[in-house]
Parts: sequence; structure tokens; C-alpha cells
Amino acid sequence: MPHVRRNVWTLPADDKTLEWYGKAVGALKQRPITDPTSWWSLGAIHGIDVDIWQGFNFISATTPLPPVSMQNTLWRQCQHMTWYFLPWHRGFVSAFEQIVRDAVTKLGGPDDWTIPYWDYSDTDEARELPRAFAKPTLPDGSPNFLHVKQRYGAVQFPNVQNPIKLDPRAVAVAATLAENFFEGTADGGSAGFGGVKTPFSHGDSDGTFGVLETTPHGGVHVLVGGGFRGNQLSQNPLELGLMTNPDTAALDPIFWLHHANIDRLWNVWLRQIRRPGMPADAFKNPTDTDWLEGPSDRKFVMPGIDGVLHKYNAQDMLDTKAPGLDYVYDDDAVAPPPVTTLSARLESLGVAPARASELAGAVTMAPPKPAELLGANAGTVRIDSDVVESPVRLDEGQRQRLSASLQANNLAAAAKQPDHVYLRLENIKSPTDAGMFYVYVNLPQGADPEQHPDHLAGTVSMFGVSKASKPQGPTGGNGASASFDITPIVDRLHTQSALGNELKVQLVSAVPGTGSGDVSIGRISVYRQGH
Amino acid sequence: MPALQVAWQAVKRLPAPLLAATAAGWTVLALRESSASLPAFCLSGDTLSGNIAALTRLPDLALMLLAMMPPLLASPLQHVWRRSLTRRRGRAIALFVLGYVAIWLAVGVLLVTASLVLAAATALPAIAIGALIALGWQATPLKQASLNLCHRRPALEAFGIRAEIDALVYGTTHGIWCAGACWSLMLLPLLAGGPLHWVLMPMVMLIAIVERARAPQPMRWNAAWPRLRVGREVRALNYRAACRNPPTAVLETAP
Repeated sequence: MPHVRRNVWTLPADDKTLEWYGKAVGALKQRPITDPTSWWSLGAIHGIDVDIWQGFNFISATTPLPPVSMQNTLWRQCQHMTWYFLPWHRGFVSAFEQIVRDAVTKLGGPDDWTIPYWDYSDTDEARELPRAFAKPTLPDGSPNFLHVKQRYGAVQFPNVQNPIKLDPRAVAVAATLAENFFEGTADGGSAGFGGVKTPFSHGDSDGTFGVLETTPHGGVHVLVGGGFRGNQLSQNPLELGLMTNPDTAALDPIFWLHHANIDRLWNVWLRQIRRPGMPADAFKNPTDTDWLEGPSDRKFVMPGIDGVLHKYNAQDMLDTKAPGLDYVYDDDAVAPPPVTTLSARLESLGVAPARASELAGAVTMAPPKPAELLGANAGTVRIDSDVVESPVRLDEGQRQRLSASLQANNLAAAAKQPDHVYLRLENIKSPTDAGMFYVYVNLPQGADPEQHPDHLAGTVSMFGVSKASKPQGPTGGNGASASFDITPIVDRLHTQSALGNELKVQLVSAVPGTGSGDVSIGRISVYRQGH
Repeated sequence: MPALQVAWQAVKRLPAPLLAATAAGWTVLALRESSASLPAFCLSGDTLSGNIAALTRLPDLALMLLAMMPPLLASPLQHVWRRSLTRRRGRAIALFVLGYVAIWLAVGVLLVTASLVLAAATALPAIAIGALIALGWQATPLKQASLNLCHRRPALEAFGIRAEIDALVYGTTHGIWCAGACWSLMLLPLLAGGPLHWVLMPMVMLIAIVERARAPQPMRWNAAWPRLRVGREVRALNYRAACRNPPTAVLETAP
């Protein structure tokens, strides 16, 4: 019987899972960083910056580190802006869980311990940081190892949030789960649920975040870690909370509950039901051997409970019930939320319900064509105030083609998919990871963004962006890119006859007062993708 | 071999037109080999006549670029293609290539001239001097800086004259970074005649592909030596990890 990972917010009152987790964290912290099963080495597998770790006093200048060959093999593996994001993190969380379970057992606890998951998208209450993580001490006065004093940024604007509660926009997963394809494209179309194809080292890419990686993954990191400062952003990484920086994120015990939830969402996505009109590979993992057996330029490596290292790749991560993983989620049997069907979309575009239903059943979904640029803004956008607006000019010829594909009479006449439209933020650069923005399209002048969710394209955080902005960083200084499916917004504009030669894109700081001219977007573009 | 694996991955992903371009370059070079080998333009003469010889050999240089550069250009060309309006893609690619080739032809003339000078000025085999130069440049931080800059994928304007300028500037600057990364390697086949020339050309191409596949690195001395992590990982996996033992002892003594 596989181990069952459970929702942290619905654990019974007398449940001891978190109590044992805290004790095990304390035990793992006692192990030296040279031990691959130590808290410190496990954190370094995700990322480590020795200067930052020394600054936080996690290690000292004289702490013995593993040999460089071991570091090069085991440390700094985290996979972001790539289609390996999900399988690599699954192996990472699973290795951690087995090591913690072993520690719990040795401490006299249950031998079936599992990491709970934090489903912040579940209820209003669940958006709050689980309370067991918020208190510095336990009721008996002993230290609470689930609390870390470096959790929230040392320099905070305007105040340290207490309790930490996530904005609903950052954890809205409906659009994420509705994404049809696992693999995204770098051509301007969808970034894919699981990310864009890259090797381990993706220096040649423009650092596109996958859809799940963007929401809710990145936003949760930054909203938990904080470190917002306002204009003239601090470039001092010691002023950021642990979760905000990939090089310290895994040192916060909440990291593992967050990533258990990201891992669970992969399962939920796979359970989505393919509807008429959807492509044959909708809601399926890639079958490309480059993904299953890759990457070829560096192997994924994790320690077992005995500290022995072992390699794995994506194909080892497909079945969580396999002996090497051996877990399920308590909601694995729950039906996923329904996604918008082609029929509903055709109806929204003005096709009569009966004909829409008939067409949706008749459409044989071809693979999407390469996306084509529909329009772009001019010049670099600097996020130097709470709301920054940038006009995106649309190419007249492309706009006409898009409009033709959305016309109800054209759609009713032929069994053809209407185009999809994607908004891309390209070459996002920032000196700090402590930044987050909500992206809106055609928000009415002076409107309160929170009152207009129908104009929300998505959220984008700076998690990992500061490193990607450096010439020696993972994307060679290209920064990062994010892609949002704005098809519903464009459909609505079309039906309202409001789709002109320009879209207005508004970037709204998640924390007021934290805009900075140091954060920039190289280009805001819109792509049209046909089928 | 990991290097071959990485190179194969790069070639496998080449769009068909680029694959055709590199194949055409190699084919024409091989056909021309029977009449006049490329290194023939390094044979003799003073610098002036050498320069003239170099200029008359521009078509040969262009052929070398055609054979060797497409695998290195796949990613930047795709960047230009994807980031341009469909109706402007042809123009954008042409402007990028124009800037890139202009830089490389200028650098090529300098390299041919240098090969002539080296052949005439030293008693040592020119190829030995060339190898020393390549090894020396490989060790400098500037080599790694050039490689890092080869990963740049800038934002490109979509409309108007700015779109044209951006494509041309990107091609030109990419040519400069590419030449910075490869000039010393490209000198080697220019200095070698006969069969060695034909051994060095694919070797240089392989090294260049593997170098570009590596992630950007901090600028420092010796950062740019071609190396892959796979070999080390396999070795490390054969050792028991450092768990609760002095790590260096475990790593040094375990089988």
C-alpha cells in the first residue's frame, strides 16, 4: 500500500504529522553539510550560494564542504524554466520525504510518515501559511523547527505580513489546469503545463516559465519569502526571505509542502478529461525520449536514506506508486474541476448552442501550428510604479486573420478551431527575486484591478529572475519570459467588437509601493496560434 | 562519448534549411578540394600579397562559414524568426545574416593574413604556433565572456525601421561574440594543409558546438576548457557518498 500524502489544512486535530516533521528537521539540521542526507545538503541540491549561506549563519567560513566533484554532482540541480521542472522536483521531494521518514522512524515516530501538501487554492483559509509553521516555539517552549526566522524578508515594505496569506490571484489554478499540452513551445505559443523543451543547461533559451511554474509555483515562493523593498530595490540577498531565492528556498520547511502541492497538481492535470475537440495528447505526459531519458548533458542525482547517490530521469517519475517513489495523494480519486470546452467557447463566440455542440464533436484537433507574432509594444518597459501600462500594437494583417478565425459565421460553416492568443513578457530582468506583478489586459481606466478578474491574464514573479539576468546565469543574461493564454479576454473583446489595433497591458505590483525601474521587460508581445 | 552525444543533440535539432546549408557547405568544399585546397592561400608571399591572396579567397572563407556555422546559428536564427512578424521574417533573417557574415569575413581576412605571417615568420611549424595561440586564448576569461555573450537573445522590435536595425545589430553583435569565441579555433584549419586540414575542420566544429551547448559560466581563467559533467558524475556515482564519513577520504579511496 503506497504512502498517502495528505492536505495539511485538513489534517485531524490530533494528527502528529507536523510534530514529527519538526523533530525530523531538527535532527537533519544536526547532520553536517558533507552528509547528503543532512538538511543543509538537501537544501543545496536545489541551490546554494555559499556567501548567502554564510551571511545567514547556516554555515561558517570554516565549515567543511563536500569535495568539489560531489558538489558538482549533487548540488545546484534545480530545474526551472524547462520541461524538466516537474520530474526533477518529483524526484527531489520524494528523496527528501524518504530521508525525513527514516529520521522520523529513528526518532521513534511512525514508519509511514509522508510530507503533507499545502493546497493554497482550496479555500480562503487555506491561503494562510499553515499555523504550525508560524510560531517560533512549541507550546512547551522548545524551538519549533518548522519556523525559520529568515522566512520573510529582513527589509520589508510596508510591513512583515503576519500571518502570511497569499493573494487569491497568485494561487488561481483553473487556467493552469486547463492548459492542454505538457510541452510548451518557444515560438510564442503556450509555454505548456510542464514547460518548454530544453537541455539541463538551458543557456540558449529565453528562459520561459512553464504555465504551472508561473502559477501558482513562482508566486507562492515570492509571497511567502517576501523581501519587497520598493524603488531602488535592494540587491542584498540577505534582505530576502528564504523562499524568495532559489539558492535558499529549500531551507524553509514550508518549501517541501509547497512542492508536494505542485507535484499533486501534476497528478490533477493528468486526470483531466479530454473533451471533444481537444488534441489527442491533451493532458498527457510527453513521449519524447529527450524528456523521458534526458537530459543528456547532466544527470539528475539524489541521495537515498543511506546517503548513496542514485541517478534518475523523467521516465522514472511517471508512476508515483512505483517502488522508488511509493506514494499517492489523498485526492487522487477526486474528479478534477471541469475545463472550458470547445463547445462552450464556440457558443461564447456567437455560434448557436446546437451547432456549437455539433461542431465540437466534429472537430478533429490538429496539432497547433507554430505561433505567429500578432503584435508587440515598443521599447523596454520599466516597472517603476504600482501600475505600469504599455500599449501593444497589433499588426493589421494578423489581426484580420485572427478576427476571421473568431467570426461566428466562419466557425459555424466549418469544423475548425478558432485561434488561441498568448501574451508574452519577454526578457524580464530584475536585480532581485523579490518582485511580483499581476498582468491585466485592457483594464478600464482608473479601475480597481481586483474588481476586474475578467481582465487578468496572470501573475508573474521574479523567482529565479535575478540569476537569469546575469550574463553567467542560467539563461546567459537573457532574463526570463512568461506566457499567458489570453484567449478568453480576446474572445470577449471580439464579441464586443472592441478588438482594435492595440491592446493595453497593465502590470500591477502585487505589493503596492514595490515598483522599481530596475525591473524591466524587454518586450511585451502577443502571438496568435492556429490549428 | 559525451561530447559526441551533445553535438548529436545539437545537430538533431537543426531546422532542415540549416542542415541543408551545412551539408551544402561541406559538399562544395570537398568538391573544390581536388582543384585547390583551402590552405593553399596560406602558402607564401609577403603580407601585402598575402592580403591580396586572402581577399581573393573570400569565396573559400564563405564556404567554410557555410559549412561550419549553421549548427551554431540555429538558436539565434530561430530567435529572430520567432520574434518577427511573419511578413518581416525574411528581411529580418537576411539582415541578421548580413551583419554576421560581414563580421566573419572581416575576421576571416585577418585570420588568413595572420596565417601567412605565421607561416613566413617562424621556423616552427605554423600549426604548432596556432595550437599555442588557441590554447592560450582558451584559457583567458575573454574566451568565456565571448561564449556567454553568444547566449544572448535580445528583445527585438516588431515594427518599423527599428525592427530592421535590431535584426542587423543583433547579427553584427552576434558575429563579434561568435568570432571572439571561435577565432583562435578557426585559425587552426587555416594553418594546416592536406589531410590535417580536413581533420581539424570537423574537430573545430565539434568543439564549437560543445562549447555553445555548455551553460554560461563565470568569467575567470580556464573557465572555457571544453568539459562535460557527465563523466565526473558517473565516476562519483561509483563511490559511496560521503554520508557521516570524512568526504574526501570516501571519495578518494572508494572503488
